[in-house]
Amino acid sequence: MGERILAVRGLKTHYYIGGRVIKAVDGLDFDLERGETLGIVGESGCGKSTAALSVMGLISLRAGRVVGGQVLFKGKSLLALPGEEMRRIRGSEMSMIFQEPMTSLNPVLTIGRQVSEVFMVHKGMSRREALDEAVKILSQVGIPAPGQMIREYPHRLSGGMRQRAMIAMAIACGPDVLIADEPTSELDVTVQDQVLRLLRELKERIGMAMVLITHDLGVVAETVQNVLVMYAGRAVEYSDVSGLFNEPMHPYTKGLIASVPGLGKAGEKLGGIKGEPPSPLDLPGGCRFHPRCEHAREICRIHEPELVRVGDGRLCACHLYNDW
Amino acid sequence: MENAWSRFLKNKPAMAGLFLVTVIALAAVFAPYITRYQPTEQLIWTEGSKVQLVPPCSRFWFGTDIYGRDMFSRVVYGARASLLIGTASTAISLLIGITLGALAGYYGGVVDDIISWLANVFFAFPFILFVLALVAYLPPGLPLMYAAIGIVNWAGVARLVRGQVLSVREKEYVEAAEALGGSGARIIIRHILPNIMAPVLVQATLGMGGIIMLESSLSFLGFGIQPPTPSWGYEIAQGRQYLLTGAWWWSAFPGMAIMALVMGFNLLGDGLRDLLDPRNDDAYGWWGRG
Amino acid sequence: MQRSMLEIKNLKKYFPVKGSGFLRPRALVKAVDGVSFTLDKGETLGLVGESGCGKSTVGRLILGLIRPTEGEIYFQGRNIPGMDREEIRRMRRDIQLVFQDPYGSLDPRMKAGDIVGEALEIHRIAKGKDKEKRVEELLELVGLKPQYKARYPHQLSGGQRQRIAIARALAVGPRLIVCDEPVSSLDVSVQAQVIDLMQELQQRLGQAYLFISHDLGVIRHISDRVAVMYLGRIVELARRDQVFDRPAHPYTRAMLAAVPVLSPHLKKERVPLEGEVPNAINPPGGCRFHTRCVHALPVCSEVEPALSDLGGGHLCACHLF
Repeated sequence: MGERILAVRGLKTHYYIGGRVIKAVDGLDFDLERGETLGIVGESGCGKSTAALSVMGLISLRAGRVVGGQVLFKGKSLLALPGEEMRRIRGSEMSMIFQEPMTSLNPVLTIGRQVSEVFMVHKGMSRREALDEAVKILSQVGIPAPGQMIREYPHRLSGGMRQRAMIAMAIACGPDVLIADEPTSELDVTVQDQVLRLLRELKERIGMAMVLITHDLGVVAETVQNVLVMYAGRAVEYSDVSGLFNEPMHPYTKGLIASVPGLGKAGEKLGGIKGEPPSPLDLPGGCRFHPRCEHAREICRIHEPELVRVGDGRLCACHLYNDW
Repeated sequence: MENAWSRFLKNKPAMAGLFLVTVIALAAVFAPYITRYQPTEQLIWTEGSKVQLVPPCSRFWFGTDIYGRDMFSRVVYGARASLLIGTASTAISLLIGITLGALAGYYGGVVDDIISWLANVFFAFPFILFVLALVAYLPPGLPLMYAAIGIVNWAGVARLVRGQVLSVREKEYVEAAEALGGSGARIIIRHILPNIMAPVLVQATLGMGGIIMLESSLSFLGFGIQPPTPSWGYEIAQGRQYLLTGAWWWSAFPGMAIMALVMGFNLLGDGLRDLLDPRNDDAYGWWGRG
Repeated sequence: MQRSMLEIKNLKKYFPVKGSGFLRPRALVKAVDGVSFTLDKGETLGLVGESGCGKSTVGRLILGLIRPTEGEIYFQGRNIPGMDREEIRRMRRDIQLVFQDPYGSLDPRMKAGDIVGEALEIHRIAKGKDKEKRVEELLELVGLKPQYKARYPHQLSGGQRQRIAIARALAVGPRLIVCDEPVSSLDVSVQAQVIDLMQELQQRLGQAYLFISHDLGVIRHISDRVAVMYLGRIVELARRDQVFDRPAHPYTRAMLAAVPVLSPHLKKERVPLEGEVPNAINPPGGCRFHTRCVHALPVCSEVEPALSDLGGGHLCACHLF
């Protein structure tokens, strides 16, 4: 077993909108080892992005608050850290990339200026040194002619190139953990393939751990070692990637995999899962998945199942597996 | 929409605006029932100089002017002129502005070029001078006033409507209506106009304040409503000469009335803007991803 | 020979680029640049490609929402670009549209029932009580209870909105529905339900689909035949199994290889595709794909390959064959 670098325990993050409480993340646990790639999958509203923002200490930018739990990074509790110290960690030891590379980049600053700023802030370099480093890091993420690219503005870059620039900024300081929130969802499939290959390659080279947040099961299957499946603010299953796809345990995971088109015989019904994910304003009691679950029994309506060990390193939160 | 209404009830400034506008409008409508004297009734003819420039008292709440006219009555009746000009000229400018703006925005091309050019010409015109010229040239009177103000204001409405239509007509539901086989008129009336009315309504409400100010200014300068019909601007102008003699009430009460009504419309407009902002009524939208 | 329901011949659509023209040569985006295909009754043709390949423009051209620069679109023997406004309006009883964004494509100020009923009104199919009854039937057809009539779009979930959009398209009894990324904005579990629904409706009502999507999994699942587009042209057009089991064009192969597969550790033979789609204002000469193609020959930069039959109706535009 490797060294645990990030541990999330009982994380609860709630948003407050118009006097209503939205329990976006409601009791989440997971571990990340040094050099590991963990995938967090789930559909919109399951809380996967909120979980990432909570770990990064970025929740205060939205109308929400981390109301419970702990985030331990190299043994330090991040939630208790003063803002100044958290800022130092963010972007150097732990960094994040987002889905929309266009809105995450400042449209009125050149790429070079934005990438070099990371070096100036975290490494105290002069502008000239930082710009040289920016050129180096841009070439590392596969941006052609980085010497010219540093003078360009974001809108002049294609979606794939913008995401590469974002990745360059995120890995500039050689982080221990990179959190990638839907990094390829806006990209075309061939460009997505390029970016995923780049991320895998950089991970090996830098030796960082990565949390890949996505709704796309295919991306997870190709990129990560372990997977956490989230539903309505909680983890429902944790498994190594081959276990998850070869033998999914939670009914939600099974339904999710069955919903992916293009695998089975064409023209056949996909089946998948009935109903839709619940509104985070109005979560069902008991197991949150029970209104959509074919196996739901009386107990599922009343008791929320715990995430328990169900096999070799696998966890599942379902009463079907609590019997034994 | 119950939701929106309850939000409006909670918006204190907007409620204050609604209160001011409602009270003044009711006073204007029921003027004969709440005033003791006719606004043009000159009491000096019957009661002599003792009713000249009487300070506010229990008989004359807002005092009297040099002719022994009841200022309360004149202020209340003056509201009629202000509100009539405000609503009538706003209606005219909305009618012209929405029609031309919608045509320009929806059809684009030459139609747009001509209407936009026309609007720009009206914008380039010195607003107040144009009205002054019109009013000075033609015999003054109420209908002329609101026609003139309405015609001058259409360009602003048209520009707003055109911009809104341009953005709404790119929406997929408009394309969907086109794909269903809907005619241009149907699409404009059923799908586009209902979706742009919110900002237009806000603009019109906020514009009412401006128009009332304009009417008062014109009347102050003597180009507006002609005496003896009561008008707030005219009263201020008349009373101005007596301010130094201590008869402050002659100008002060019409002035406060203008302020109250203009402020009422502005508060109401701001409140409507918050109320009708679709971002405030989005159960799913803000939530976005995870 | 019997003609197909829809026949598209050498379709082109060029858009002028904003900000060009004055004292500068007018630049044109060649969104669609010589596309031909046919679509039969009750058939599903998948139109797949990456963003900017022109697939959505093809859909809008067929609906007559925009007019082509060149080319013909024969629907049941009549050329759509040659129709006047009134004829196009009437044609829309036969060709309907379902959009990607079910929120954007529903008027936020109309109730679901009115949205579905509008088509009935426009084409004078039913009114009053009849219309109400028909609307309820349509809602039931797409799996919604009649109560949903009174809901506004923002009171519906994404999947329910897309069901409303489908009911609206079905209201006029169309022969062809152009589906522009109809499930792309939905969560995967809901997406599966909508795909199932669309297939079931096709079996019951027999309408044809032109199914536009960037998602190869969805295309593979739903299509009878598949057309692959790249920079305004079709590079491969064949039966679904031909395209997915024996892809011929290097672009199709690269795109299929780029799709992540659900079985981890199953490493496919990779033809990693470098670079990104070039600008459609000045597409590369010769074969448009030659700048990214690993098999490119000298001839590829000179001559544009034509779509030719590789056997068994498998069409491919590539000099390798």
